[in-house]
Amino acid sequence: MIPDGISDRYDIVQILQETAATAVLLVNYKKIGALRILKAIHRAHPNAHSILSEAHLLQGIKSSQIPTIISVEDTDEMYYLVEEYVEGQSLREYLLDTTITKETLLNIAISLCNVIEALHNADGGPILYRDMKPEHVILQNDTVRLIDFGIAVRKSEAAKARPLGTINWAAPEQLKAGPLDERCDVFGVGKIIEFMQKNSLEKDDYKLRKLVIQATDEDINNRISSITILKNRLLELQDKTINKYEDKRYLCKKIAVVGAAHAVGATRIAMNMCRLLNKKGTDAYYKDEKGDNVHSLMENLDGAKIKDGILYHDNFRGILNYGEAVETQKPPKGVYLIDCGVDMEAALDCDKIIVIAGGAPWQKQCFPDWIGDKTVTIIGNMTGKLNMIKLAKSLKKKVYMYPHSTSIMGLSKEEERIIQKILQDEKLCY
Amino acid sequence: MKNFAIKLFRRKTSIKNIKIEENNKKTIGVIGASPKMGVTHLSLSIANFLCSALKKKTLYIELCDDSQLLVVVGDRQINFDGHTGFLYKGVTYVLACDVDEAIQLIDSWEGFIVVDFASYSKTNSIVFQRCDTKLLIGSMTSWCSRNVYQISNKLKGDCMKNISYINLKNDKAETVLIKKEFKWNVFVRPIIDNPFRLKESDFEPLIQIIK
Repeated sequence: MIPDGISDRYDIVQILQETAATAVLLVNYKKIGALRILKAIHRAHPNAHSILSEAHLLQGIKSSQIPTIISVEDTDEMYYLVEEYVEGQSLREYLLDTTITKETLLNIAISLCNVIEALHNADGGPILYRDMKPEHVILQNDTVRLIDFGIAVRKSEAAKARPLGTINWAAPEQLKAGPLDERCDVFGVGKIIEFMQKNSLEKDDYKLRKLVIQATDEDINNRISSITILKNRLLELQDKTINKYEDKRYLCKKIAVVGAAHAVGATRIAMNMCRLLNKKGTDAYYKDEKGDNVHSLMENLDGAKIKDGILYHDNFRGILNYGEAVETQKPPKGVYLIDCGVDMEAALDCDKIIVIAGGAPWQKQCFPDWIGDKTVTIIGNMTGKLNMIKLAKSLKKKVYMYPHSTSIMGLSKEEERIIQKILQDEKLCY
Repeated sequence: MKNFAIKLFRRKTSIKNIKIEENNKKTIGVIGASPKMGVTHLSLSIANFLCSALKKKTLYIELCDDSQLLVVVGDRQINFDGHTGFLYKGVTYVLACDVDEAIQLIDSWEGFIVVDFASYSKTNSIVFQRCDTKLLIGSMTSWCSRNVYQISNKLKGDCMKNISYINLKNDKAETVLIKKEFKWNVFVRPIIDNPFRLKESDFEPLIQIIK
């Protein structure tokens, strides 16, 4: 349906979408020769008022990243909405022939969060966009803009809104007509980040992947609760990317040591790394994320001392996880060796991850899909050389072999040598 | 001199021989020779130290008719093994507990138990007998010494064994007197500002007392 009565002001350049009662046209405004988008809908159409509501919604938003409404007109038959034509390339088109860097990915994702944040903080109550997909994200040089607010609704009216959205992009509660809030847009932005990551140089970046998993959780209660939190998490990642080499003394601040199975010696290796780093003059602290190993050491080590929540014993320094009834201590500065037990998820918050693999045939080892990431190092412990070669082949990654040691609390020369090699090779610390 | 001052300032708390119990099960009873000796304060300090500093599973039994602690620790009620308790900062509290329930708890609880005796009596002496570490807080000042002798008479028998006497002040003469009269180990009562917010400097005296 091409609307009548517009030819005096507009030339139709392209019909973008057309049905019996609606049309979306790219038009040329004759007076000044500017391209615009004209949306027309017949008054008899059940959604005729959607054009008016879209105009109302967009008016209250303070963001240059959304299209400007130029005019809303009506005739006896039709409603018209004329808005700014957003020139540029859609994210989908852009990623067809471009592989983006992590920095670009984060810039786009943060810009997108800014638009959604503006929608959620709009005058008159939060607006839920509900239609996040790569086709609606337009890249204009360094600016990211969002288009098509056709199914956006006010949060207060979301309960009455029809369950609309694009399958595979919209949040599950949106398609099932469940109760909606700002988290449906968190899901949408999460899906866009996932889409960008697949077309980026950081396909295996586990921190981004973890963020995507948290943002696109099907269970709304487990999902990141607001777009601001998601934005802050992205900003943290951006900061880390920028400041990666700023702290010269501690290249990595948190090194996770995690076992691929129980009883593969992750705790021992983490403690020994801590000892060696302190011996070499780098302040290093062992922290047990899952248990109370340092408290057990406190009980069992003769000559151990404590100060400010740290247990000192020769070159070992361990962070005590005091309970609530002990004064909280300021964490010291230095390298943290985080003993994650076998919890791979817990390791994802660290700058580097060391996975300890065993070799006993009865051990069921589990390696995550991000094992190939360059920030992950694998050490084989308590196993033979042949097993480690097999493992290296299957994982397509270098596997360091930890030497057999008879000393319980000490650090043998061979252990020192291999730990030093790992730390240097993997650029974990100076 | 300067180096000595720096060393003193940076002194770390030595925790030599901190191991309290091999099997992680121990009952510590605290009684007072006279009223207002700080039995509850010390009991709470010990319980919170065991739980928050040493990460031990800890039960606090308030052996009295009317609870004084309910307003402080009573926010989160829990039920365990048929008992009603309250969980506060990791420690499980059973408040206004009677002798029978206390005995049941001592038998069944797998972990450390601190029993706060509001007052020592013949009725609850059976609970005190069951304690592995028996702490008596007292003072040998002239207006309190009578109470110490009175309670020592009450304690005669099984309860007299392994008593650790906690003196209110660090007085050598009083320590000698207690050791001579009663053959008890004597410690000085630690000064703890807040039993729910312990400092590392509080650990050392508490370890000495409960070992």
